[in-house]
Amino acid sequence: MSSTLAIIGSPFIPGWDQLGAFLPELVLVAAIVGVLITPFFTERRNFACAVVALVGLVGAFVSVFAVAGEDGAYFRGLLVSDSLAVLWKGLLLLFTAGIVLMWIGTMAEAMREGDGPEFFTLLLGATLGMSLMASTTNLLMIFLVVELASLPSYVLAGFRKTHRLGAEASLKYVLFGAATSSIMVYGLSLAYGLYGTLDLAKIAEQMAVPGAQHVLLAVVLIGLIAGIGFKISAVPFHFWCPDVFEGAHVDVAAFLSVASKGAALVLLLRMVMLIGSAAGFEASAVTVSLAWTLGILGAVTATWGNLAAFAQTNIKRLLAYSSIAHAGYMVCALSLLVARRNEAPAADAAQAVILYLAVYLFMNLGAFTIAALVWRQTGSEQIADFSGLGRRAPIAAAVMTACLFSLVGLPPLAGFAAKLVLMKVLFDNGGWWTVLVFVIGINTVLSLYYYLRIVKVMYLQDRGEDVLGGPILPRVIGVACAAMLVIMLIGFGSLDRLTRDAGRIHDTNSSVAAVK
Amino acid sequence: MPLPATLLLIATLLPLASFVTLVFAGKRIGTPLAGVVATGAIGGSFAASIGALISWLSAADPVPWGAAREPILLLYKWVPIGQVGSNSTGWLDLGIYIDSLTLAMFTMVTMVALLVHVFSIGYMRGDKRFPRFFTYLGLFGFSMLGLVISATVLQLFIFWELVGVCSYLLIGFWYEKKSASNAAIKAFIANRVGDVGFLIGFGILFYHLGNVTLPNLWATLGSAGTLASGEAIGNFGYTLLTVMGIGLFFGAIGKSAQFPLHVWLPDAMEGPTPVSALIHAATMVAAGVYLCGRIFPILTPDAKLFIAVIGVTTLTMAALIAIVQSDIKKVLAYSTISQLGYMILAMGVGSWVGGLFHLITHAFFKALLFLGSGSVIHAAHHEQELTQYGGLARKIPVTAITFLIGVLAIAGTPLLAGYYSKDMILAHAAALGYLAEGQGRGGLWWAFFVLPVIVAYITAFYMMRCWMLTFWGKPRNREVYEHAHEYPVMYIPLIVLAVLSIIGGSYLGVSDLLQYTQQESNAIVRTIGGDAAGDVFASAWPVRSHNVMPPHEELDVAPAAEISLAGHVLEAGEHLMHRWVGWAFAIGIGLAVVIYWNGLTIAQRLTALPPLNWIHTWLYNKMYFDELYNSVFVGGVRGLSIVLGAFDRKVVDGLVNGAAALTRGLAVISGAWDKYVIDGMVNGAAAVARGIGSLLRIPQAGRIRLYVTMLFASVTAAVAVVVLVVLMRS
Repeated sequence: MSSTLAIIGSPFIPGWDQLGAFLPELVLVAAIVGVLITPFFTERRNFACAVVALVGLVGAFVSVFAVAGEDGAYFRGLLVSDSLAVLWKGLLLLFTAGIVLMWIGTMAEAMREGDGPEFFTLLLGATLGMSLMASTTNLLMIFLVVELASLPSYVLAGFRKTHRLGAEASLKYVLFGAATSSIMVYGLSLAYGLYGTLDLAKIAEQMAVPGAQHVLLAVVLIGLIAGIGFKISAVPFHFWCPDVFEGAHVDVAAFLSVASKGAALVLLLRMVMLIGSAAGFEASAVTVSLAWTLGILGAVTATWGNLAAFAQTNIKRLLAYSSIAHAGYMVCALSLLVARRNEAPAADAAQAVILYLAVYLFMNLGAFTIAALVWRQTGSEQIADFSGLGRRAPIAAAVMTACLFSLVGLPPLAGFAAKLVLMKVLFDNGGWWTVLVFVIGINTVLSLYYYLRIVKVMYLQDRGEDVLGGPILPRVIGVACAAMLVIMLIGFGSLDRLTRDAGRIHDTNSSVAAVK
Repeated sequence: MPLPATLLLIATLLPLASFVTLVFAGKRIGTPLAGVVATGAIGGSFAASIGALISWLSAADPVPWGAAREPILLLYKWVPIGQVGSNSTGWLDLGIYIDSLTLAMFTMVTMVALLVHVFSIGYMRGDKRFPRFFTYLGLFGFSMLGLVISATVLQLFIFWELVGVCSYLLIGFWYEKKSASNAAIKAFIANRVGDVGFLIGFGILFYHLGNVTLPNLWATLGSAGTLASGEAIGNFGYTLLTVMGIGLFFGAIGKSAQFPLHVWLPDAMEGPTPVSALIHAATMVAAGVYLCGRIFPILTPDAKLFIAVIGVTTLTMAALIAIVQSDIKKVLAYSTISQLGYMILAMGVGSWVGGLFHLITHAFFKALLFLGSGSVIHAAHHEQELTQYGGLARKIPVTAITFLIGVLAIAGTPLLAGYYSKDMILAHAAALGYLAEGQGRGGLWWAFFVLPVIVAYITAFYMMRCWMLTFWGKPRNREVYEHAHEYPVMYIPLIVLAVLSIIGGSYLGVSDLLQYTQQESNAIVRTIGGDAAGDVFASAWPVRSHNVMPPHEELDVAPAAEISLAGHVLEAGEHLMHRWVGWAFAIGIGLAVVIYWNGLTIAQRLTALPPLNWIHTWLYNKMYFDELYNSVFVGGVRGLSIVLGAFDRKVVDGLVNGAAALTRGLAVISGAWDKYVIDGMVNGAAAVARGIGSLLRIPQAGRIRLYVTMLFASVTAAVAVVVLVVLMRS
């Protein structure tokens, strides 16, 4: 692939031959262009754009397989490609394709004709940013891609144009995002000032030199964590999340809940892993304080999210807090990536996070799809309006139940294995990590209450309303998600072997120093 | 993947596919068709099982597997759990284990299930939940086959619970009937009690060995069968092994309805009769015996003694109760318990082949008897009392003849299926008696032979009584008699099962297949553990004595001779068995024919005599087990709950309410922090603002400012903390 491109383009554009490793992103860009010109050819602009976007996403997903294995650093280290990046891109593109399908199935009729091109341009643009977030270790690129992912998201959140809540959500999101971005860019600029390089790998190496740590380093790391924590919606950077989810359409909320958080988690994972591996996973002031920060951040986020979910009556708000809690679990595991005496636990933890993300993707997509279906048919987002769903829409209710059980982490669904592995990785390392295991365990019990409340409403409360009709597509997506949850549990061993390499990125990162 | 493995996997998954289809589309598919879908699926399973059996028996080099060669063990690494126990691979393994026993079970289960499905299409027609019935049957088929193909103890346990769930759902299928839903709950609870023991045994196993496969288990602990008290295998002391074995066996006590947990099975007859035939006679209840068969090599002599005692108690007790029951399904239920007792006894006395052989033959004739009773009940418009029948042979002749074949088979009539398997168990029990006597372990071991022999006579008697009262004599209820008739869809399965009950013992080669299983197990154990692993079935009796004489009168086994004399002892046991049981079927049946020739006349006179009427009442009330459990456990729990309830209300409620309030408080404080606290502040500010006529009336403006303020405050605090930490560290 790269060689063909090299022959065509290298005389004209420097670095052209390296573009081949980012074929999925190129396909996405092409799809954006396609979405923009499609309206000139058809009357049903919304639907046509959705199809073009879907085709683009599927094409990008397929091309992920083409670039798998082309590991290494590209464009003088601005971008990297490795198993982690490839895996995340695959998941992200699959998920976004699911979102587009969900839009076709539930939201299409609610959108004003002619808004489609904008919507899908923004969606694909955000996807592009989120996809690149997994593939960079350069401070400049980090800032760029985070903004590339954020700016379209702000607009998407406010896409419910005529709705007061939507506009309000969008504004809050922008302001809050601007504030965190400023903190992050402050931290990044300090890092550049301290070390004279933008390459995070080199910065990490210098950080690892004993006695070379500067106090300002703390500000650098805090800045980074704040910037990424905003995207992960870790407490206390989470304030925007419930409001935005409530204000935005269900599809946008679903998109943000997985894609945005996942991309940020992968980025954080890569950064923390670099810092840890540069230090040889030895305990030093930097790694220990980073581990503690992440551990506490994760524990607080998980607990806060779960407790706050108790009081929610709006399904999207509830799922927002649920997503905060799940992000918390994963951040807990990230604390293992630094400060262990060898790399094995770090690699295991990274893999556990990836596995969790993969499973989380399907259970959230399923739950949001059913929420969207109910919204489409009843116009309500209240949990109370799920009453009698077990009778009114048995398949939808069954799918919702499966997804919620999986979110709790009950067998025989994949959420169980994902959580088990995450907790086991933490437990194996003993010490303070055992506390995190208990925190996650207690949180699981807490979460049982509010997830099962929905199940209870669906099956045990019936106000005798009419049978819920509606389109078949969302049910198909939901059933597919629920089936995936079962398949992933049965196939957990295969999944584990598939993601094994993703946890070993520090091996490829050492080659980052030798820039192509 | 080897061909038999592929076929058996398909056979396992087909009922699951039918279950999934019917769950989602059962109502739409509709009444006769849902049954056809399920029947088609199980029919496919049956065909696949037969295919697997053929390829298994005809296997030759170069493949290593096949009958009397090596089993197939395929493992799939499932969830990575790290090192748990000494034998662990770092994974929770899922796997399939296929040997001749697996194939025998598969063929039997799918065949009986297929026939029961066909029968049910006729029997359940007209039921308003017809599709759901077949949905559950599909789930059951999958669970039962999954249980049989499991390679690890963990998998066994998972499917063990799944069949339990199916049993629960199907017993309570007519849940509008209070008695049916109560029976379902009773079955569930009795099984939970047994499963606690299972879990304890499994816990011990898992702690020490991890999630082991069956061959690994045998290779590690296979010498337990000949272990002497005080010795140990690795970490396992004799006592621990015994406790573990008995713990695992507790699962079998629950599932196979052994004393003292047998009380659920008679009540389980509240379920539809095809379910009784399939689940509560032929397959699921035999799972306990299957489990014992699989863990047999790791049972210590003391654990086996315990098993034998439970078995002999059960078979005697159940047979006595069965004599006087008046409900046709209750008679069959107690007969099932009694026959399961024989199988469990077989495991206890070391008759490994005999027990599993009896499992298979019993499945044929007991399914036949239950389906026959279903045909009778259907013909009699759901009248189940024997006192209301009589003379039905003229009305439903096919049922009468096939039922009679079933009765003859269970009674041990020569050349029929039950004769071979029951005799094998009794011969082994007699041999054990000789062995124990020779070793000077006391005459009580003869109880394992004497009681089953007596029960063999009783069995013939009560089964023939049941037949006589149903089909012979004058009709005692004209109305039932007049309306009785039978349908082909229901009696064709009966004919097939009748044929199987005739030929199942000698012509199908079941016992040969089971013997191959022992060779296969030994082969794989030697592959894993080396030649030192030896024969894991060393403590089981060989099927037949191959020694030529000497006559058993000369047999004075010296204590030292022991196992090497197994052949002689077995020879003697067979002689003794033939002498005492040879004519049992004829005597029992003859007595029943004489007494019940004229319906209940003679029996009523007999049961009016003083000592007999007391015994009759005692037996008729099932030895008062239900009343006993009711007063001791239910009453005890209720009494305790009253005491504890008072304690709760007075003491604990205060604490709980306090805790609940605390949690609620926490949820309110942190959970609604964003909403209530900030809102409160904002609203307060807004109220103040409104009060002074300010224009700042949009609360959201204040809100986002607060958000960002919070953000900066927390970042600043974090920076401060980390700076402090870094300073302290460096």
